[in-house]
Amino acid sequence: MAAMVLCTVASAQSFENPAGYSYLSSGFVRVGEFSSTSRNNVGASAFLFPSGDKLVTGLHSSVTAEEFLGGLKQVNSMFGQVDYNLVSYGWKASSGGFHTIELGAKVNYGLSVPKEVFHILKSGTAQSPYNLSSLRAFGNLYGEIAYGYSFPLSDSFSLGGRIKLLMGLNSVDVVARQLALSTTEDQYRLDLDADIDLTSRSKKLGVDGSGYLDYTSFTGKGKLGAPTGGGLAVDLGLVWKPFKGFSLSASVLDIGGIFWYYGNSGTSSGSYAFEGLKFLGMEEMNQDVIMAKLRQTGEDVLGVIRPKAVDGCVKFKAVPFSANLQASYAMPFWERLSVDASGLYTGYSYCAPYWEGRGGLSLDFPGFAHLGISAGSGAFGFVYGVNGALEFLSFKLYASYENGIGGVIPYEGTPLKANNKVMLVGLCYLIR
Amino acid sequence: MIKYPVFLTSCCVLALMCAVACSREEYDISRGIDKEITLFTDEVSLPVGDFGPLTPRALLSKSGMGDTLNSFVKEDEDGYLVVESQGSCYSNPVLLVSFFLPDQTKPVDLPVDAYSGNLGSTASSLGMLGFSLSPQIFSFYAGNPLTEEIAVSGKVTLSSQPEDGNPEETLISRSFSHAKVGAGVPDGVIFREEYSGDKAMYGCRIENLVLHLPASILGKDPLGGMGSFSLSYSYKSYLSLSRDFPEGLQFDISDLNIPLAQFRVKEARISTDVSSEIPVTLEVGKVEVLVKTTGEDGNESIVPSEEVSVTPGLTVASGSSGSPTVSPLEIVIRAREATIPDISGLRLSFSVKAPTGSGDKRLGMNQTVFFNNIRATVSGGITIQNL
Repeated sequence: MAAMVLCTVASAQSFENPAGYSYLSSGFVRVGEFSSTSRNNVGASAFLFPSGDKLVTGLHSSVTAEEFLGGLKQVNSMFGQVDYNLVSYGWKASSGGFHTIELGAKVNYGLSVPKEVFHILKSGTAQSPYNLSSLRAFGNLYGEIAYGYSFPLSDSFSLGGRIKLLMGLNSVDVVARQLALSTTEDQYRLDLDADIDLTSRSKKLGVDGSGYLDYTSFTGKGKLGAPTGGGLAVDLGLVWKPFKGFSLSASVLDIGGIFWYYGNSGTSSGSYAFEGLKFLGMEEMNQDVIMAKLRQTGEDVLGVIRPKAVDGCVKFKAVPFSANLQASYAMPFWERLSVDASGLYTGYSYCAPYWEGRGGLSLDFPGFAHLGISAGSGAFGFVYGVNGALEFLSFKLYASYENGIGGVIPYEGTPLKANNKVMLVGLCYLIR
Repeated sequence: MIKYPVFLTSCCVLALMCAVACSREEYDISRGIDKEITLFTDEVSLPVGDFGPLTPRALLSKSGMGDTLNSFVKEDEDGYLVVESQGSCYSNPVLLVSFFLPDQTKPVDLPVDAYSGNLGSTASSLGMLGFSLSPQIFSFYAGNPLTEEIAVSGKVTLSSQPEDGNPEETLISRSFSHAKVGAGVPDGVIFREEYSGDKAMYGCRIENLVLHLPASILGKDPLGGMGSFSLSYSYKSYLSLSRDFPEGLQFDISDLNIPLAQFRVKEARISTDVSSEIPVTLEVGKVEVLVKTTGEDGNESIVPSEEVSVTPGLTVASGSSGSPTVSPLEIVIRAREATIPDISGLRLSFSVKAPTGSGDKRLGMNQTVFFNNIRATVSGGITIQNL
């Protein structure tokens, strides 16, 4: 039965339905589960193109602007997350419910680049002005302590929930509320209003004499790992088995967020207009003077871009949440073979949301092995996945691998990096 | 019955786990990819800035032609180009004059010999070159060392230079009577005439000169006898361009050394607004791009490139001091077939034309030219190899 919970679904994203534990007949200890998710909404194939017998970037002259820019999104995002479950312990309650306690850590990061950036690079500046406000970067590291409980309401229906105490360790967030660039032949103008927030429980950034954050100096005693934020999140799920061989599983995971204390906060705000180098006369027409003026121009631009220190602040940041729905039907002629279907929606703050739906097949040999394959389509195109588990004595080793299709280099046949990839590997000890 | 599927499943699971455990990046993106990129394939425009002021003085100084110019024209205190000459008509010590006076106790009218001369050939030569001398100013001075006022009478006739068999033409003829010269004035202006006609002053005749002296010139101021009565003149003419230069001029801007070839630029356009105070119209008829070539003998030379065409739209309208004229200016450098090579310099072929319109047309060394709002636009992309 443990295999049914830990490794019977088509997607490695959704194995954490807390309601599923209610069907376990005994407890378990899980250690060192590692999961990695990497997604971007464009993929390497949007940036690499065949040209003759070689591969070129989208900025190569042989690639037209329509070809290159047509493959990009208005906002081009990448997101990555690593989940590490240090240890989990689950035990059967006398009431028939199932308790779980889990300890782990997560790190996620993201970057969003507006299409206009690539448009300027590829085509030039003729379509000014540009709104680059969707430029964003973030990264978060936090720990999780979770308690879960699932209980069967009947033989065919169970509910589960999990509450997580989130301990923020470090966070950085760069948000451009306004980033506008106009590039006429008379004037380049930059209007910027952006925040940079960096947690600082261990170290505080210095501030220079002009009030700018100084990334080269730190103050305060190091308290590496000390929490810089706290929050809560909950997981909710249900499993429904209306008739023999069929199960429906639904869950929403990570509804909540963290109140981060950003001790290193800065604001970049202002406008800068560049109208060329002024006051160049006969005497100034030499390389040293021109370079000095260019340096001064650079410093003027930096004066707008460099963040000025502001008071530390507390901000709430939601953690990436997901909603999952899976259905599985065991074939009547051979119940070890199941047909699976699943759907997934994941929302990332400021990043492009991700969804997918897929179908699959799985073979399940309780007490020995499990194998599942799946394929479908998602927000970033075709996806496929395999998952499996081996059980030996009371140990269960399980893994899954999912990926998208990133295109193939024409003359080598080597696959390009795909749009999205999820890997999972873990070890579980089943308490008989 | 199920042994074979179980075995198969186990193998698959093991293979999957090995694949996951040994997973690597699918492709090393830095390998085998052409890193050449071409940016801004439509066009990119950039404000370059302002350049100036350029003055004739700075340009001539840089080109080394300043000394040549100074050998036949001068600058006045305001920087205008002028032709000047001075001459002395009469100078006689008071003591000597007094000695020959028949009766020193009475006022006396002392006749002075007439003066004839010319004002120099520079002005008329410049006039033949197409410069107009306008205005021409002739001044006649008298020096009075006495402690009391004297007066001067006479007649000045200024004439043009005879040319091509034509006799001289009288340009100015003025008489003056009892023009007063204050006590102790070394160069009192007796007569000043400004002429704005086409002809250049050349001949100068001053006649019927009489010094009207008071009585007892030494009795009242014995030391005044050490000084001299003097009569002199000065001639000053401003220069302006009256006719178009008959011949076109060529000017090379060398040592530019712009390494454009590596960027594979196909077309570049430079625009600016030229603000000129110089009262001369410049029309650039042709611009050639100069490139370095190596001959068969291995020697490098700089020659006009045949691979590049330049479309000039250059006419710098004439202005005047304090009232500059703004002319939009644009130059397009376009590769005929491939891309623009490394540019070593530019060769400008231009014509110099007389100023148009009314206003002050005097040429000055301090008149300025500003290149405002210089913009550069590159079309067709900028290629960077091996990024």
